[in-house]
Amino acid sequence: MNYSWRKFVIASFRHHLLGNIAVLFGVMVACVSITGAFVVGDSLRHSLAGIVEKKLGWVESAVISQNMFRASLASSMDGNIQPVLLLQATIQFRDESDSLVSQASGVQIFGVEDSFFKNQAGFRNQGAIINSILGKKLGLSSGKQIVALLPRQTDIPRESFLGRKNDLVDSWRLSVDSILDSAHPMNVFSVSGGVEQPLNIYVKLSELQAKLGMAGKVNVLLADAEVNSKQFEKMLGLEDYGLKLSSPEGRAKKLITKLDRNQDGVLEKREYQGKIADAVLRDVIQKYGERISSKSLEKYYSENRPYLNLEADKFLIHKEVTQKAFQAADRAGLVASQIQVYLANTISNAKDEIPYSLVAGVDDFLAERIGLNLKGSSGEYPLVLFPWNDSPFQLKDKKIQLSFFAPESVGKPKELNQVFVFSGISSGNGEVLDPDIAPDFPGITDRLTLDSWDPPFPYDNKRIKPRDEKYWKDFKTIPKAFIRLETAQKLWGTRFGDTSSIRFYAKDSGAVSGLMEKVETELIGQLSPESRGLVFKNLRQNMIQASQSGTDFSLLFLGFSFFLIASALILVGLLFQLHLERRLSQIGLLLSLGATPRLVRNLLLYELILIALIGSLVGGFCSVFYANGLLYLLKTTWPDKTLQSILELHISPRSLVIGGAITVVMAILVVFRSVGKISRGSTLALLRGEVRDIQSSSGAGYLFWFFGGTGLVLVSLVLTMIPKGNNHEIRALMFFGSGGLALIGFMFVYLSFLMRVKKFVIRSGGLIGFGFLALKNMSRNYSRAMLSSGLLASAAFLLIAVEPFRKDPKTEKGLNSGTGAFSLVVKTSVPLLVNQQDQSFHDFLADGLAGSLRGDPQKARNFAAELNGLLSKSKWIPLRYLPGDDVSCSNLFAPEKPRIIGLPPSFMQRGGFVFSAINGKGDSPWNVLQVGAGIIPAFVEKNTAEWMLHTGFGKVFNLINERGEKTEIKFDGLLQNSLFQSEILLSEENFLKLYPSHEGYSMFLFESNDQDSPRLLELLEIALADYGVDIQKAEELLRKYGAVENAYLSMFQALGSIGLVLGTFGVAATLIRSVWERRGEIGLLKALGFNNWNVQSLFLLEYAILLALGLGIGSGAALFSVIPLEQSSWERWWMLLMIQLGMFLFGLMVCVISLWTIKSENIIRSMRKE
Amino acid sequence: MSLQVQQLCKEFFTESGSVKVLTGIDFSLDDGASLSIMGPSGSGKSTLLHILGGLEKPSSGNYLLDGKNPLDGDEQSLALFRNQKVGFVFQDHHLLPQCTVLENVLIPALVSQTREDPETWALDLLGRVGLSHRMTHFPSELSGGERQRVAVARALFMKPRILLADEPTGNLDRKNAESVMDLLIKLHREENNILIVVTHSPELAAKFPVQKIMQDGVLLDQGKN
Repeated sequence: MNYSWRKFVIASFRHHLLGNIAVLFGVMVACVSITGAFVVGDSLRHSLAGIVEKKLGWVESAVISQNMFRASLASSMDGNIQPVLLLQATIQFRDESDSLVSQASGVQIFGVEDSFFKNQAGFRNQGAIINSILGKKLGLSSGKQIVALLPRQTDIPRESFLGRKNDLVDSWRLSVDSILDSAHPMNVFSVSGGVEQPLNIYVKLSELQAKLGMAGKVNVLLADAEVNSKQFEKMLGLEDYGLKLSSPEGRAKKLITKLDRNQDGVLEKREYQGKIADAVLRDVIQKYGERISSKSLEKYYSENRPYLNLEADKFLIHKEVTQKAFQAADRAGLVASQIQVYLANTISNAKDEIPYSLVAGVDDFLAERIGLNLKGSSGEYPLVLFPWNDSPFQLKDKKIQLSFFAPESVGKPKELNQVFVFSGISSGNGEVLDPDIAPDFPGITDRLTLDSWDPPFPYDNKRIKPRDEKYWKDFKTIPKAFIRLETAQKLWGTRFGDTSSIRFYAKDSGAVSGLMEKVETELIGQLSPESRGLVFKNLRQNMIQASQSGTDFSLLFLGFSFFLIASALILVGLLFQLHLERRLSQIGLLLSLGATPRLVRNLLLYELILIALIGSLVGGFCSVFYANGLLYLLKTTWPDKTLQSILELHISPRSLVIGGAITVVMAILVVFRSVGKISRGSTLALLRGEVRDIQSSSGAGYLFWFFGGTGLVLVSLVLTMIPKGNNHEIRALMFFGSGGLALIGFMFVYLSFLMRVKKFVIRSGGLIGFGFLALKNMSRNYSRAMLSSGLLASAAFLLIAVEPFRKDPKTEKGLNSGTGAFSLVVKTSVPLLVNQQDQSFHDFLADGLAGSLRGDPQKARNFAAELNGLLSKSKWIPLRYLPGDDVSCSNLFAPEKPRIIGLPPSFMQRGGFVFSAINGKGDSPWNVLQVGAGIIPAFVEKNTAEWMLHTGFGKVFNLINERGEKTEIKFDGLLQNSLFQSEILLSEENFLKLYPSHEGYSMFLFESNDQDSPRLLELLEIALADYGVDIQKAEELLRKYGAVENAYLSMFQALGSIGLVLGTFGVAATLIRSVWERRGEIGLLKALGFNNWNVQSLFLLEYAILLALGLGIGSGAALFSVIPLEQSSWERWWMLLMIQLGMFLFGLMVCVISLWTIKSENIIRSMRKE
Repeated sequence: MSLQVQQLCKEFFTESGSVKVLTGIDFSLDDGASLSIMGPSGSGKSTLLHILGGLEKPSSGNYLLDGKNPLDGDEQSLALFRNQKVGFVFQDHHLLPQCTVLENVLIPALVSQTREDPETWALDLLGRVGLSHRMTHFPSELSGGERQRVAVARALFMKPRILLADEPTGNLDRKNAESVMDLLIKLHREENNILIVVTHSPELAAKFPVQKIMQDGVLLDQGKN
């Protein structure tokens, strides 16, 4: 048979085309909303991936370390591996008079070889290549002179007592060789993600190495392919771990090389006089004569100093490395021995003192080996003195005091004292006569006289007496005193290490030199490349992953479009139902001809699927334009304007298919119930085309709804009056809750009114009579009236109700607010070593002003005085700051390595800010961070935890510490709308446990009054210009963070408004349905003499009341709750109310158009319901 | 007897109380018999037809076709009964506007394809109602009488045992009414089915050998013709 159900469905579809097109429109809108959201997500992900591709250029994988290692490793590997030295710098453009024209901080300076640029042109002349972004920012062109301010490199930790606290920056004058074109593949090169366009400067690697004193060293390797990291790690040597192992012969050769000026392999007297300790020289000369050959010296070393010596570049060896060294010694069959050397400012007894003396802490093995009696009673600290003729100390001096600077300090170092028990005098010869016990320290160990020392700590050479100089001449760095190793580590141990050297001795007094390679191999085998960042990682993969794992904008926009999608689907349901109801008799006929309800349901669904498929196809096509519109909305509302240039439309066929499929499924689900219901209806009723019309109810129910509704409104009123405290979110939630209750309450009262109104008797004519008739008509099907009004009311309420969630930093003042009463947030790219307890910061700033204003010293002094005055009226707190990925919601990339802040005790004592949740009680919630044992406690901004880190209150989170190890932290507190939305907060103590090498403070919070704040900002910018300063007002920072949430709210409101528009179309659809249902009534009214306008205005009045009540109840409920809230800006509220009014007028207009068909209805046909 | 109705009653329940529409209906008919029923509006004539056509169920009583109650059974068997055993002609023709004349006749075959070559049979029926030349036309292109003829052809398509017509000529003018009624009777005789017609017109009712009157839900004899 040719005729089939397929043909029937197609014929039905074509016949009812107009009705189907209306349903199709609803499906299309739903598809556009859903698919559009997916396309936005795709576009963002694609755009971010595009940024990664642009940033990486030819680079595929990389080693990125905080520590320096050998550049020669690059050439030892297969493939194209580029050695790179990468630092952050500040670049200044100064004019001929050396006045500052422009400055950029946070600039990436790359020391590279020519081959870095691959086939593109590299360095043409001497000078620097800068990228187009930096060139534009500073207004540079080829040939211009710039000054690069680089962080001065030092091996010695600056916070150790031997570290220099100032002289942090080195300036380097360069000329601009060329400026990269914006299309150059390496123009925006960066090894970190993010949408920001980097500021880059490229210099020759060798020149940068020379400038920094880092010859042969780099901290980055770049590869254009994936690299087997294990192969690379096998090539690492101790030098790459910052360690150096020397044999006796090696140390001898080093000394020869250092002193042998004529390079003849023999040291003459004039070459070594004064440079080697006389006591040692006497010994050597006695054995080998005055002309000391290299071989002799090597023999002397191997006989008298028969140990391998391990030292660290950073002067101190970390505990973990010490542990591994001992393990390596054990495996190599050697004995290891630790030494901790320190400098005492004073060694004194009751009567006399000697200044600036080396003291060595030795372990039991070495003490025994070199004959030191360091056994003492418990609680005592024994001390053995080295014998020298001019020593003022005698055995009868029972107590000896050491004075020394604290081993770790920022700012001015503090002097500490410790009393020891004088327990003896050591031998004056043998292995104790070994100046190599102290590691080299330029400025101290290389000086010919004590007087010529140039130490980094406060030093008074007036204290030096001739006997002290004599000691230096005779013994150089041979310690004046020896104490127990444990005591030395207790007094002088630091987070950087507590051992200055480790010696490896042969067990059987044999030669150790032959075992050096074995020790080295064993030790390297124990060390972890991850601890030094010496691992090749697939940079491209990681960055792409981060770009794809950020905030899911598909889901976000689906959420924003919720109302739009809901309205569209409701419209589909309404229109399809209307469409069906016009064909009820046909459905009845099919049933009467023997079709089962299931068959009829399926036929109707097939027709719907056909409509949905076409609607989804059209919707999918249109979604591209819609998505483009959404992208424009995103670009204009997003606070970071960089997004405007990078966000591009990208269409993925997969998303179009998924969006279309979801739409089809949702459309079917929406109509499934009503289709099923109709197909199971009474055949006769369907044949007659009957639709259930009048709703019956008893009068008794209305009182319940009335009093129930009134009660809810009163509860809402009470809730609005309750004080809500400072927590912004709790306030907004309570508003939402009370507003919601008011909304439901008003709706209940509305329902009670509708239930009651049918009992009214119309006694008057004119507008009042019409009005009552309209109300009675509404009450015929009050559930439909409630649904229509309720949807509009909910939409109107939500659009206004989200407004209090909008962030307004003007309201954030005071200690317990988002700013914590701070006015300025200062960051420097070079950490500063300053102390709150002393004047170090003031001095530092004065020096900074002098440097920045070097052309006008008087101005610098005036500014310094003014700045001191402002500082005396302000409070400031320095914070430890570990740079990394921004974890705030403004970062579109998933953070891999979050920024961390270490809070000092002074911050935690001060307190302040607002908490969303805190685990702990007591005066200050910040004390929770100071918990020492167990998992490290941390705080983070609530939104950051939820949206960026995908964690929550009380949850454990993994951080990677300095040694590349995963460390658990627990979020014991969540902050609410704080200044710290980009970072995770730890106590300073815990921060330094995780990142012990981190030094100085690079974030500062200032609390000053509104009057002083602007000038303070200006002066700080000048004073800290050389340190890559970036200052933001606290209020502006909060505004920036709030702008992201506000952007989301704006997008939600914009899309919600479109949903509301669609909602008014839905109301019009119910109006059309109502007109159709009541066509018999229309015919009768016309037969009774109502003209067209009378009939139209009756319906119009009915639906105007419906619209007005819906929008009015929603807006009213929202405003009812918001009035008690403090709001600094009422403009937005008025704007939202105007939108509601606009919706009302628009809805009326749509109704007027929909009622046009009444005009043409034939009276008789209407009455016959044809 | 092929069709038997015994003490059939139908009651509707409303808010105002129950309404007895049919009371103790009794009659029986053989194949080839026909019956007209007249009566005032609201007397229950259409309700009786709806029950006989499987569109309603009685409140009590028996309805047997070939000794079996066709209304016993599930929704599926009831649908099958309506499809294969009953042909219904409504006052309002209820032709599907989206289907051609031929397709309207073929609709019952879509439900259960029991006939071989249904199109030939449909064309034959259309020829017998005088509309084979309009088979590709849509209902909107036909007159009232022509539409009703198509409805008659559709009702006969499955060769039903019972042919029911509820005021089939109610919307037609006198000439068309007579023509459609004559057609109905002719085809009934040709197919030898049981024909029951409800009509307001005494002239049309008189064409039937058996005429009954429905009064207040009770079926009374008019008298034999």
